[in-house]
Amino acid sequence: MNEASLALQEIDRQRAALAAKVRLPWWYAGLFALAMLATLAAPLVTRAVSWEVGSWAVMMPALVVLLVFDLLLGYVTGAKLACGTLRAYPSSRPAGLTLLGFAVAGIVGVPVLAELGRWPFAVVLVVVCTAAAVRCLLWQTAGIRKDIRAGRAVVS
Amino acid sequence: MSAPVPKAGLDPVIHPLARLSICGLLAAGADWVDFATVRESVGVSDSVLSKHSKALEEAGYLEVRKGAVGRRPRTWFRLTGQGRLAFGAHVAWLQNAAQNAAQSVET
Repeated sequence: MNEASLALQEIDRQRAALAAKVRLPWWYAGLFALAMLATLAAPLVTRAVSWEVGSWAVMMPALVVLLVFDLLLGYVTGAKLACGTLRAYPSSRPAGLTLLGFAVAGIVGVPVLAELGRWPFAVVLVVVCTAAAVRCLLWQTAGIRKDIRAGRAVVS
Repeated sequence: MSAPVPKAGLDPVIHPLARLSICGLLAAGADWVDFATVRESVGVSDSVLSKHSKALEEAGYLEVRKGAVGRRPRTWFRLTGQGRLAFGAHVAWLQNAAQNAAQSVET
């Protein structure tokens, strides 16, 4: 094998090494699920308890977790992924957009169902949207790994 | 002033295997990669990685950010725009060279 082929093999090896790093630890998926659950359930807590509890004790901490834990992941894995995941990793787009869809369905649907007095349906919607969002997160991560391994990631 | 666009071809700064390996990891798809991760993945010592990263930084290919987690210092690397262009051009050259070598073996 010639020198150029060996060099190309080394580049492939490094892509595979970085792809192997992009795995979500259990706490990341767990925190994401909790934060999603709290965000979607906040309108129910607001109606059942009080606006202050729903907003400040449930929704705000959840939003802070959702914003901050991406930074934590970079520190833990030793590799910070590119901002703008959907643009940088094309294979993660279907999962990312589906995740967004479930989040919007939950954010819009739960208050509407609660307003109509359909609380059991609202609770079911919270649980279904959270479970689906976690599944999409794992699917999205698999897409990111696939793009890194194939050299398709677009980082500028 | 914008950075000059490197010509496609062998880049002597990137060509040594350790530097190619560092650039390969940094260009793979992450924005920033930390010192320890690069060292382990490339399989070199701290001093060797420092030497190569310095050479890449002096060429304008590498950006270094130093931070800390608590009391522990932490260094992060990423390729600059110029570094990504140079690496892309070098990889294209490698692909051509590998293809030419394969064709010459066949004939």
